[in-house]
Amino acid sequence: MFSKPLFKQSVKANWTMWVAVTAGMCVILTTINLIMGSMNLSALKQDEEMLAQYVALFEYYNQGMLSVTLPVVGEIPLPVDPSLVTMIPEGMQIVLPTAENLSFDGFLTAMGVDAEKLNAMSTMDIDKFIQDMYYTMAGIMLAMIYVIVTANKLVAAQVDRGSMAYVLSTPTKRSAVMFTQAGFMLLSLFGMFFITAGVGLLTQWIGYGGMTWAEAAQTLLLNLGGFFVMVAVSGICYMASCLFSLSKHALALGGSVTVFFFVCKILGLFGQPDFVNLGMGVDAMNVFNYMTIVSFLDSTSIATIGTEAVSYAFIWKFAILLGIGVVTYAVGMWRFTKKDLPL
Amino acid sequence: MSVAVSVKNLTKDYGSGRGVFDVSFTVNEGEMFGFVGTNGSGKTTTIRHIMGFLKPDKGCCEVKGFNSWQHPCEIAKHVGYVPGEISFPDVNTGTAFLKLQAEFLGVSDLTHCNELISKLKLDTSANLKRMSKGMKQKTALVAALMHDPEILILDEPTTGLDPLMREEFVSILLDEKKRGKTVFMSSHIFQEIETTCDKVALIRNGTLVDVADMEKIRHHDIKTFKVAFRERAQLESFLKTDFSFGRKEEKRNETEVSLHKDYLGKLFRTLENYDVKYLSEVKYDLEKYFDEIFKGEKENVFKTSV
Repeated sequence: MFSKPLFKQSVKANWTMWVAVTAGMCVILTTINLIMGSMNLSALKQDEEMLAQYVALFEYYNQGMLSVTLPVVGEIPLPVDPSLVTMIPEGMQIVLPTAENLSFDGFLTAMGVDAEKLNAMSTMDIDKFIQDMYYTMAGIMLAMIYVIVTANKLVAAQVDRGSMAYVLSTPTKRSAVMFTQAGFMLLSLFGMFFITAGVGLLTQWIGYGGMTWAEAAQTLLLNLGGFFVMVAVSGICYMASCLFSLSKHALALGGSVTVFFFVCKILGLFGQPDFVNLGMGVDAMNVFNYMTIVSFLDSTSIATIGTEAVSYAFIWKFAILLGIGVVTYAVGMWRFTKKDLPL
Repeated sequence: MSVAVSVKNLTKDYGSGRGVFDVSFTVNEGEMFGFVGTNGSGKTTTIRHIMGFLKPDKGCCEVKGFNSWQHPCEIAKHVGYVPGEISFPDVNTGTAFLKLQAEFLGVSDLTHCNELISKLKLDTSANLKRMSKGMKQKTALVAALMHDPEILILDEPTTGLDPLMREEFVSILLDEKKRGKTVFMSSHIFQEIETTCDKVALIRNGTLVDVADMEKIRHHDIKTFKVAFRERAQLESFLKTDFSFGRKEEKRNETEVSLHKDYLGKLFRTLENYDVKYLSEVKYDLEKYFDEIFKGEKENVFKTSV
């Protein structure tokens, strides 16, 4: 059921691309972790502090504790040192310039900012957002290219060129060819994500100066999820490679389906709440997230690990990805053992 | 003699007249069997069925009693295959390829393989992609022969080789035959098959026309000669004798005369009385043999249509 020489041959023929893609993924991940971690991109958190000062200021004003004649909205001297507020003598009564109470939200609205969106933005974790971008897009894209090319090379290209004749004219069963090539595909992908998970953990630890167990678990689960996405994608490409005897047809089916999923993921990004809040997306674009299997890597659910309300939704989504993989690999293998081979 | 390869009522219809239709023949052990036909006549399709790569619509192929489609692995143990299109796996050198093939075939002792390499004067350290057609063909042959199979199946092995290389290649096949191997090779070149094979099958448009025994063709009982005379009158007088005559070239005072080999003496005695300009034998070869069959076919067609 397994052919050692064929496995060796597949390793020899595909290791260069595997190394290139794995290295590429590691470089991207390392860059994200080291640079993002050290840059202290929590600028939004600083903003939060400043916002708190404003809220306090408005409170004081409304309680009549502040006699400052508010300048024209938008020209408040920034930032306001809270110590100034404490310096106001107690009981000092000053007539307010307007009858209406001034609220922070009203102030923001006057400035043309949606208070809700700003609130959502201030609670958004930019580091998580970037990590999410990596695992659902940047990292997966490189692996997808590897899968499209390799799945074709493992079966269809060899049938198309005729070199499969040298394998099948030896006492090597077609089923053994199938199991060996599928095994190579899956093992190489597992190795790829195993290595990137290791590199990811290490650089995250270095870049952010340590991490919690929950964070480590999240990183591992994201990598595992990335692997499961690739199991499903490679299954589709492998099936295409087994169904067709011509490279161009196998590439047309496997490649286009894979690229379609990827493009949908990019478009779906503009429908994600984070993007919508940033003013860069539209809710309606979220429909694309339902058109791609990459969405079964549920990073939002994984991010709840370590919080009080842990969502286990990512587990059944992983199961769906595995299911797609099992079915597509099985269909491809079954067809290959039954079909005519022009060798 | 036991049967090495048998093809029984093999049919594979690819539509619009392409494919093979009801092809049957047997190759005995130790035989050198030629399979001739023009391009697209169904040679490769038949061979792919014998190797078990294609599933027949009807009929079956057997190699040493094993059904090709059902037991391709059993067949592979006994068969060395040189495919028509030479395209090697994705490895660098000839040596790497042959080592890999040895692993596939479970051959651990490479002495036979090395013998073949030195016999073929093959430089296996060369890059596979930069090899000449001849070198590639030789490398493929070594790969097919290294497990010392009883049956060799070659799909147009000499196509694209220069005459010297072709001769060399054929001599290796003849050596294998001497060692008791069965050789099944296809070709579209009549002469090459004629000189090497014991039996020849002709396939045309997917149907088997005939299987000819080369021994009978080489030692054909009916001999044909071209005779030319110095004078027209002599030709006319000769034509009145009771031999059977073929094509006439009256300008050159020439005629073809066919007779059973037992009557050769009678011909020469008759010719003694004539002023013969020249006399030459028209060789009976495979092409002539098949031409006759085609002619017969056409006549049959004509007869049935009338």
